[in-house]
Amino acid sequence: MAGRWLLVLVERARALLTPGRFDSELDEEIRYHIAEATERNLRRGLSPGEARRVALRDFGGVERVKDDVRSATGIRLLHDLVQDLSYALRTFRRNPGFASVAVMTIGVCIAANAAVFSVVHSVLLQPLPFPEPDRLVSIFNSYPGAANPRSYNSAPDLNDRREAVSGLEDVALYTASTYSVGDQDGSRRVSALLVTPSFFPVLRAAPALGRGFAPASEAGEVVITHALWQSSFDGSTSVIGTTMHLDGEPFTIVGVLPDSFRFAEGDAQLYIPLTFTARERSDAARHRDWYHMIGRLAPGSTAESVGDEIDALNRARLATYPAALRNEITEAGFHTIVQPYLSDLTRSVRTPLMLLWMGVMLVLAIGAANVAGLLLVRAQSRNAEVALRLSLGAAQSRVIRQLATEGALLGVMGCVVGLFAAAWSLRFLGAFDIYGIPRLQDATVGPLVVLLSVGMAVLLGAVAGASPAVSLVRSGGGSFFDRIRGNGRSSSLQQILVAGQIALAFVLVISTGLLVTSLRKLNAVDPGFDTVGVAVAVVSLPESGYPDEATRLSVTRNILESVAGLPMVREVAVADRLPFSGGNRVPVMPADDGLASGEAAGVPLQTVVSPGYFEALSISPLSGRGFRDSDDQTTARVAVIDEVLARRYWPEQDAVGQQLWRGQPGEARDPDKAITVVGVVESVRHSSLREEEEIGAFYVPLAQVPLGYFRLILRHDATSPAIWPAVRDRMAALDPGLGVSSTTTLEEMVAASLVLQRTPTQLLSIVSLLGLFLGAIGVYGVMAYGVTLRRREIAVRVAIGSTKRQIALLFGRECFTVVGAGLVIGLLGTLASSRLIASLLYDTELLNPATLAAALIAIGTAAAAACYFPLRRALRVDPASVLKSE
Amino acid sequence: MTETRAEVMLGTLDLMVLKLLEAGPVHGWGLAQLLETASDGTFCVNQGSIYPALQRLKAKGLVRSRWGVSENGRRARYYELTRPGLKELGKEVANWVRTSSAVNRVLAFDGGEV
Repeated sequence: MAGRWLLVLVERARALLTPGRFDSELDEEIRYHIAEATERNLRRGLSPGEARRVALRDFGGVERVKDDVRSATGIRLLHDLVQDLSYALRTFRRNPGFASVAVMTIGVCIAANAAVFSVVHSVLLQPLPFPEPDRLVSIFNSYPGAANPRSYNSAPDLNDRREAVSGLEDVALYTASTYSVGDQDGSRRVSALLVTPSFFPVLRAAPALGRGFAPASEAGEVVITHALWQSSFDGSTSVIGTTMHLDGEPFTIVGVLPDSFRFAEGDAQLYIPLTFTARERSDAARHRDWYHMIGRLAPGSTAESVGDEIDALNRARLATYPAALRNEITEAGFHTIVQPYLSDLTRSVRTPLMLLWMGVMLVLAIGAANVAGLLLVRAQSRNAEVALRLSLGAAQSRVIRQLATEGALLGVMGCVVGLFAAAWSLRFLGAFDIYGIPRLQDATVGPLVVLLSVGMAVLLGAVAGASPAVSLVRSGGGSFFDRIRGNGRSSSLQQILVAGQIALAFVLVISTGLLVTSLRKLNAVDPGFDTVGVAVAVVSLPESGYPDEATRLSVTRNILESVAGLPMVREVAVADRLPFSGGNRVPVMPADDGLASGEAAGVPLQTVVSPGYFEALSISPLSGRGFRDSDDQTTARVAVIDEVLARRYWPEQDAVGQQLWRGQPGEARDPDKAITVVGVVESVRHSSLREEEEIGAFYVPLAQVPLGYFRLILRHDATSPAIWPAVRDRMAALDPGLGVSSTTTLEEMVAASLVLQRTPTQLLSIVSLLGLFLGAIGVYGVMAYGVTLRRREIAVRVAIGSTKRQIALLFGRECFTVVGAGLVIGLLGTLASSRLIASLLYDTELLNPATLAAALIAIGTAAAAACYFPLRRALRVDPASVLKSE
Repeated sequence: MTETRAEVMLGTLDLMVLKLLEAGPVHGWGLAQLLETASDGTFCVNQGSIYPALQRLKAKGLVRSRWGVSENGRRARYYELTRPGLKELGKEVANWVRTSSAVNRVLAFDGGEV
C-alpha cells in the first residue's frame, strides 16, 4: 500500500513542480490521439480536411479535456492561482493609479500596526528573560491614608519576609545609584544597582564568569555586565579578582553577567552588594522605605496569598510598636501590595500603549473599508467584464476567487511595503529615548509581528476584494445587459462603508482631541518655578581632591563665585536635587509638639540648596528670608519650608522662627538638632504636573550639608548652549579635574515628566490624522463613484426640470444622512471605549463641549470636502451629452 | 439533472477503463477504440473524456503510465493497472453487478401484492 501512495505522491509532485512538462506531455498524447483518429478516418475514405475535423469532433474540445485532466491531478487550484495572479498583475499594470493607492493604503495601515504591535510585544507581552518569570513579584508598602499609596520597602522588611513568609521562595531589595568609574581624567558616571545578595538567586540568573554575591558579601565587591566587561576590559577573562575604582573606592570584580542578562529597569552596568548596619536592620528603621523589593513566589502560591501573608505579619509587628507610632501607621492605612512583576513594571505605559494600539487598529479598519470601497468601485466598473465571464459559463465561485486573489495580492504587496516601513520607523525609537518605558529599545519587527501582519494584510485584501465581488455576482440576477449597464445595487454596501469610516475616524479624532486638551491643561499648570532660561548640569567632585566636607564646601563656593562672574549668567546656585528629578522624603514635625495625638508627621521632600537657589528658580519668598553663606555648621541649624508645610503645622501663626525636628512622634530627640525655620516660600510641583498630593518641601542650606555630587543651576540671558564651554573653562581654571556632565535645561526636565502623556498624544495625533485622511479619501471615492453611476439619473432629473438646487439637496441629504449616521455610531463607540481613555485624562471631561465641537468640525469638514467635489461634478452633468452617450 | 447523469457516467467510465486495462498496457487512442468496439458503439462519449478518467485513476494510484512506441512506430503513452488497481477492479465489478441487478429488479417490478 505504501508503494501506491508513494507513486501518487511522486506523480502529484511532478505535476506540481514541472507544470510545463506535464502540459507538453499531455499535448503530445492528445496530438497522437488526433493523428491516429485522423488516419483511421482517411482509411475510411474521408477527405484529409474532413478526416481531421471528424477526429477533433469525436475527441470533443481539446482545451476542455486538458482542463479536466489538470483538475483531475489536483494541480488545478495552483494553476488557477498562478493564472489569477498573473491576471491581477496585468490589471494592476493597466491601472497603476488604483493599485498604488490601494497598496499604499494597506502599507501605511500595516506599517502603523506592525510598529505599534512590535512595541506592545516587546514592552508588555514578551516574558522577562528569566526562568519562570511569572513567579516574580514586585512588593511595596502602601500608606493611602498618608497620600502615599505606593511607597517602597525598608531593610527590616527584607528579613521579615525572607524568613516568615512561606509563599515567597526568596526576596531581594535593590535601589539605583550611579558611580564615577575610572581615574580623574577619564572618569564617567555609570548606572549601578545596589542589590542584596539574594537578588541574582531571586531572578535565577548567575554570572557567566566568576560568581554572584555570597550571603555575607560585604561592600567592596562588584558584578559587572557583559557590555561593561567588553567596553572597559576588552572581554578579558582575567578580570575576575581585579580591582576597579568606583567614586575613588576600590571594588573587587567578582563576576561578569552573561550577554543575555537584562534587568528591565534602568540600564545598570554595575551590581554592588546592598548591605545594612545593625541599626538599619533594627526595628527603628521600619517604614524607612527606601528600597524596591522583588520576590519569587514559592510554587503554588499567588501574589494575593503572599500579600495576605505579609499583611498578617505587618499586623503582628504593629502590635509591638509604641502607641503613637502604631496609631500613626494604622491611620495611614498601612498595608503591603504584591503584584506580578511584569505588569507592575509596565503599569504606567500599558494604558497609553493599548490606546495607541486601538488607534492603529481603527486606522487599519478605516484602511480596510477604504480598500473595500476602492475595489467595490472598480468591481462595478468591471461589471461588464464579470458579466461577460459569467455569461460564458465561468463559475461564480471562480469569479469571486479571482477577485479575492486580486485583493489578497494587493494585501501582500501592501504588507511588504508596510513591514519595511515599520522596521525602518522602529530604528528611530532609539532617538525617542523614552526612559520609563522598559524594554522599549528591544522592539523589533520579529517573526510574530511579520506573521500577524501578513495574515492581517492577506485577510484584509481578500475580504475587501471578495465582498464587492459577492454582491456583484449576487446582483447578477438580471440580464447580461442589465449587468453591463451597472444598476448601482451595491450602493447600500457603499453607504455602510462610508458611515463606518466616518464612525471610526470620529472615535480616533475625539480620543486624540481629549488627549490634546488634557496635555494643554497639564502644560498650563504652574509648577511654582520659572523654567525658562535655566540651564542645569551635574557636577561630581573628584573624591581624591576633595575628601572631606570642608574642602567640598570651599570648592563649591569657588565654583559658584567663578561662574557667577560670567557675563550672561544672572543667577547661579547648586542643589542636591531639582524639581522633577526625584529626591528623598524625610519625616519632620514641629518641635512644640503641635501634632494632635495620632497625627502623622509630614514627610516633605528635602532639598539641600545654596543661597541663590530660590532666585535661580524664581521660587517666590512668602515670609522670612532665604539662606545666607553664614548659615553653616558653626551656626544653628536652619531650614526654609514651603507654604504646604507651614500651613500644615502653623496654620494660625507665622512659621518663621518656629522649630522643627526630624523624625517621627515618639522618637527620642536631641535638643541640639532642633531646626529653626527662617523662611517660607511658595510650594512647587515636585515630580509631576499632574500631582495633586501636597507633600511639602523642606530646604536645608548647603553649608550645613556639603555635597560632593550636585546639580549646578544657571539662570542666564542668552539661550545659547555656548554657556557650558564658558562654565567649563572657569571650572577648569579652578581645578582641571572639575567639569560638568548631563547638561540639560529645566524646561526639558519638566517636559520629560510629561513624556508618557505627550508621546502617546503625538503618536495618536499622527495616527488619527492618518485615519481622517484615509477616511476622507474613502468617502470621496465612494461618493464620486456614486455620482458617476447616477449620471443618467441626474441627467433625466435635469431634463425633466429639476433645478441645480434640488439636485444639490438630493445629494447633500444623502451625504448628510450617511455622515450623520457615522458620527452617531462614532460617538457611541467613543463612549464604549471611554474607560480606556478616561484614566489618561487630566482635568478633562470625556464629553467636554470644546473637544466634541472640534472633533465634529474636523470630521464634518473632511466629510464635506469629500462630498463637495463629487457634488460639484453632479451639478455639472450635461443632460444632453449623457443621455446621448447612453 | 444533467449533472447527476454526468456523475453516473463518470463513475462508470472509470470502471470501464479499469476493466479494459485488465488485458494489458494500452494507450489512450487504443482505449477509445476498445471502448467503442466492446460496447458496440453504445456509448457516444467524447473520446477525450478518457484522459481525465485516466488521470483520476492515476491520481488514486490504480493506474500507472509510461511512454512507449505504438504499433505504427509513434511515441505514445501507455497505461497499465497497478496491483491496487487490479484489486479495486475486482471490488468495483462486484459492486456494479450488485447495484445493476438491484436496479434491474426495481425496473422489472410490476407493482405486485404488498
